[in-house]
Amino acid sequence: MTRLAVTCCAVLAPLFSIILGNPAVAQMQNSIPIFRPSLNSDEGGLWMAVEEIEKDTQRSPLLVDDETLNAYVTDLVCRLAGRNCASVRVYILEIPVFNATMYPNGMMNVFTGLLLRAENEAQLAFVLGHEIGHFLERHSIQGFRKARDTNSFLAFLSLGAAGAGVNYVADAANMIATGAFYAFNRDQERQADVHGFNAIVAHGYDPIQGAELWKAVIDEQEANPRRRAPSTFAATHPSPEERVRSLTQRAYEIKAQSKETTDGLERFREIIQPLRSQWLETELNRGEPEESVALFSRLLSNETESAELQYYLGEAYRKRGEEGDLDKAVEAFESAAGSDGVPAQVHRSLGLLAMKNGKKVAARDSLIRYLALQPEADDHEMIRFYIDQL
Amino acid sequence: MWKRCFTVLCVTFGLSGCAAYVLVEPDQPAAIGAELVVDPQVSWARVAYPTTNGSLWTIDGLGLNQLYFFTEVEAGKPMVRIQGQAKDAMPFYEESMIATDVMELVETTLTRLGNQQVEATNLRPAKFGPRNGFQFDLTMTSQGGLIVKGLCIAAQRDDELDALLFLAAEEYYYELHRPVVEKVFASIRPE
Repeated sequence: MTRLAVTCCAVLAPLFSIILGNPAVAQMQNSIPIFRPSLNSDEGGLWMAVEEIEKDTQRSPLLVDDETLNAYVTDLVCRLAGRNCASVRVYILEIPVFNATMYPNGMMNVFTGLLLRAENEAQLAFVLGHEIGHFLERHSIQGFRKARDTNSFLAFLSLGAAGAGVNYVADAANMIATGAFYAFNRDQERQADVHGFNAIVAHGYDPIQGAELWKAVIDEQEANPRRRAPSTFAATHPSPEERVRSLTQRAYEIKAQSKETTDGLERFREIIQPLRSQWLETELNRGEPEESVALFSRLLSNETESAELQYYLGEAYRKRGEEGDLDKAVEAFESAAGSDGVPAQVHRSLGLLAMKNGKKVAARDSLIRYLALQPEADDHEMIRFYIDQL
Repeated sequence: MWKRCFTVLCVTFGLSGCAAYVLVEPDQPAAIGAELVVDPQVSWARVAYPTTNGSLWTIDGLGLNQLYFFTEVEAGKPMVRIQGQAKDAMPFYEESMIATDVMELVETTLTRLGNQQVEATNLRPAKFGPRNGFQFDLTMTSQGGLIVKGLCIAAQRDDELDALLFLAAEEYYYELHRPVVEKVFASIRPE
C-alpha cells in the first residue's frame, strides 16, 4: 500500500521556511495536499512523539546548514518522492556513519557518512528512495502496532521516550548501536528496496548503483574486527548476499533493455567535493581505521589523483597500525606530497612518522615545510618544540 | 598497572545515581594516583564508583563539568574501560606514542564513548610538574547533545601515561572554571 503519510501544515510551517529555501519549494507546491492522522489514533500519537524528535533535530548542533547541499539533497528527495514531495523534510546531520533514517511523520535524516560513501548521485538516490519507500509503506506504524501487540511494547515505548527527549544525539547513537531503528522485517526491507530500485530506474539512473553501494558498505563494515554485531544490513535487512544478488539481477534485466542511464556523477561531485574534507576528517576521527582504510581506498580508486584522499588514506593506515601499515602510510603521504593541491598536513604526517622512526633530518625537513606552508597551524608550538629537539 | 586504569561505569559521561561523593577540600593537597598531588584551589566533589580506582572530580555536578585523572595508564591498556565491553572496545595507550598520538588517543576514546564531532586542537608543550608534557583543547557534542569544551594536560614517563582531562558545558561553565583548572594543572607535583 502506498498511502500518503503526511504532516501538519500549521505545525511545520516554520520548518518549511527553514528547510525549503531552495529549488525544491516550487516542486513541493505542486504535490498533493497534506493531511495527518487523527490524534485519536495510535498513528496520530506516534506522530506526536516523533514531532518532538523533529524539534530536537532542528536545534541539533549536528545539523549541516550548507545551503547548497541542503538544496541539492532536498531537491533529489523531492524528485524521488514525486507527488509526495511535500510530506518529506530533509535534515542533514554531521554524523560520520553510513545511514539515512525516515520517521513516520516524514522527517528524513541524512547522515554525512552516507554522503561521503555514495560515489555518485545514483547511489545516493537509491538509499533515499529506499527510505522514502519505508515512509510511503508506513512501515513504522506497522512496527509500532506489532510491538504494541507483543511483549516488546514496553521496549518500543522506551525507545520512543528516549527519542522524544532532548537526548537526540544519544538517541541516534543508540539506534545505530542497537539497530533498533532499522527494525523493519525482511519483507519490509525488500519492499523498500523495490521502491529505491524503481525510483532510480524511473529517474534514469544506472540501476546497478544500488547494489554497488550496498556491496561496498558491507565490505567496509566487515573489514572491522571489532564489529561484533552483524553489519547494519545483516542485522535486520535481507542477508547482504541476497540483497546484492537480487539488486544486481534486476539491474542487469533493466540494462538488457538498453535504456540509456546516468550515474549523476558530475553534479554529485560538484556539490559534495567542496564539503568532503570535513567529512573525511570526521570519518578518520571516528576511531574505526579499518573501515576508514576500506572506504578511503575505494574512493581513491575512483579519484586516483586526489591528494586529499591520498592524505586521508595515509592517515587511516597510520592509525590502523597493522604490520606494514606505516610503510603504506608513508607511500600515501609521499604520493600526496607530489600532487597538486596537497594539504599542508601531509608534511606534518611525514615529519612525525620520520621522527618516530629516528630519521631526524627527514623529520626536520618535513616539519619545517609544514610550518612554512601553515605558520599559524594550531599545533605550531608543538611542532616548533619537535623541530628544536631534532 | 591495570588498577590505575580508570574504569568508568556511566561515562561521559552520562553519570547518574551510581556515584558517591566525597568533598575535596580547597586548601588541602590532594593525591592523584600513587605519585602525584595537586592543589584543588576550590572545593570539588570527588566521585567514587564501586569498582573504580581512578579519580573524577566535579564542581557543579557531573552533567556540567568533570575533571578526570588518568594516572599511570600502562602501555597496552586503555584510558577508560567500560564494564561489559570487549577488551578492544577502547584504544590502547602505547609506549611508542608521541604527543600527537596521545591527543588522538583521547579523541578516539571520547568518540568511542558515544560523543560526536570530537576535535582536539592547539597541541602545545606544557609542564606537567617537573616533567615535559603537553596540553591541548577539545570540543565535542556529548551524547546528550550538549556542546562540550575541554582542556587536557598529559605527560609520558617510561611506559606509562598520566593525563588530566577537564570537560565542561561550553555555555557558561567551561570559561567559568578554566582558570581554576589551569591552576590545578600548574600545581601538579610529585607526592
